Amino acid sequence: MIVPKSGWPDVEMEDKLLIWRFKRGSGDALRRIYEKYVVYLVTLSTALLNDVSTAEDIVHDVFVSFAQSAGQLRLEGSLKAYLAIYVVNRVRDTVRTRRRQPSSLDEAYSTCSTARGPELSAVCSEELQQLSKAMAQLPYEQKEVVMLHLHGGMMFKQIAKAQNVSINTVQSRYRYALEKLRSSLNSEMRK
Amino acid sequence: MKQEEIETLVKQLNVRLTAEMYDRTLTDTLEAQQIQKKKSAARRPNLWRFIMESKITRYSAAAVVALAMALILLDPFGTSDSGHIVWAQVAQNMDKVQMFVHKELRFYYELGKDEPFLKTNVIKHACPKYGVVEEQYTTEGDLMHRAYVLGEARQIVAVVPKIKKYFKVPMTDTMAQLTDLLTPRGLVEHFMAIKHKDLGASQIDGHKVEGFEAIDTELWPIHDAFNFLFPVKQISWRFWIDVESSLPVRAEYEIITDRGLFTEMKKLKIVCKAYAFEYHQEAQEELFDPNIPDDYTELNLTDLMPVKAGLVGLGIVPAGFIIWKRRRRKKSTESRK
Repeated sequence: MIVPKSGWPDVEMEDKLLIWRFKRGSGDALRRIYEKYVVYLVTLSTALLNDVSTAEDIVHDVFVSFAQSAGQLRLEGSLKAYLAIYVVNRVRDTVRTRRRQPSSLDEAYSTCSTARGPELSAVCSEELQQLSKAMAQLPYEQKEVVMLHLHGGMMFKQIAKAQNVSINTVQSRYRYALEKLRSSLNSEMRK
Repeated sequence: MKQEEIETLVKQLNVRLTAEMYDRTLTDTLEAQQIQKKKSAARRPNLWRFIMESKITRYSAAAVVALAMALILLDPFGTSDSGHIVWAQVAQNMDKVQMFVHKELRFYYELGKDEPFLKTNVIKHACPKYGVVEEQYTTEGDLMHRAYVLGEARQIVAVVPKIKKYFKVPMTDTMAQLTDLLTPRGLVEHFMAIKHKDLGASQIDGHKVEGFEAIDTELWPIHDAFNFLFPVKQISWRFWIDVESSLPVRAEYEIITDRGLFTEMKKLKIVCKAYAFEYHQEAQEELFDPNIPDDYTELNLTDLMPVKAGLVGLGIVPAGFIIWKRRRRKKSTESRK
């Protein structure tokens, strides 16, 4: 057997099929795309904006626009990255127009996987709350890089293209962001 | 806290959506899609009329059907919705075809080089009921591979005489689903959606033909399944459709690949020229029965290491779109008049 049965890139393949069907008007495909990515996109948007309700509005608008774009959609990379960039562009517009000052990622909405058990989950939740606060203190561009890279799985090269900056700039932003997060979290832990 | 721990923590950030937000956004999204579909329908009220009003689009429809069959990507497994009238005469003609055969010349170039490093002759049979089968020969007449895409069996099978090997790849549900999706209507819409141009009228073998060209970079998700072996980056198509019969008489496609295991880690350009199309109203079932000699063993990954495999694999992996069957061994000489 030349290709292991488990080796098919079914995730990417599934997305391509979903796009294929979506472009041909399939409501089921659109629903599946929504189910698959809505949580990630709201998380991304919330982390960048520090405001859940605005983040939800943005994701709402992004999905509605996406639904209307079937005829013009030209997808070159992954669907997840495409939607993430769509959201990030909207977030940037919002940040520019509103000039929101970061407060903190709404703690009530931060959670970690419940699969880790209730005890660990409680500890994790505390860490995440600290992380949320630390994230809120990051400059917007650094936050964007951290979220797209770590949460969205995007390569620095892809992020550089999306942010229209060099890959070195993206890597620097990531390095500075991680350093700041580490500093904030460690000082919190010492308290 | 170490950097790795912070990275892990960031990955765990998650927002718990309210049911209200979730439902409202989904409802609005689906409604937006419906509204958009109605608008599109209003702009293009009738696909059939759209296609048939224009000679160009009418031939394009035929071209798409033919190419898709040629590439195994038109419901070779009996999912055609023949109840649609959108295909009008062209579609009716194609629906009558139970099997078609054509020959092909294939030229393999390393990208950027002027001279092909390999020339092959191919014969292919395609049948909506049973699938597709092809044989690829060297110019000396040695069989390089015989490959099958079998719809009912949901299997891709290839036999490689040079190394006395064979392989069988099951068609995953996703792949099978893909074949279901590639209906004639879907393909026409796809073709319409990408840039294509009319190459104008011409004469081939005494027939008046019209040519079309399209470059497709988003084509066929099926390729991704083979990406590490045969990464297709772009396909350019050219067709010539007989004006009188509305059936293809010549097709050319050029495939640009990235580096893959079956390309010997080279970037390739493969130029394929299909000719001598024959359309039959009866299929020969026996042609689609894989014939694996007893002394052949199954191919495994180590057999495919570039040095060992050489060009053995070349042309097999794109079985999703290039599967052929030699029916008669003829020295093929293409001549477009």
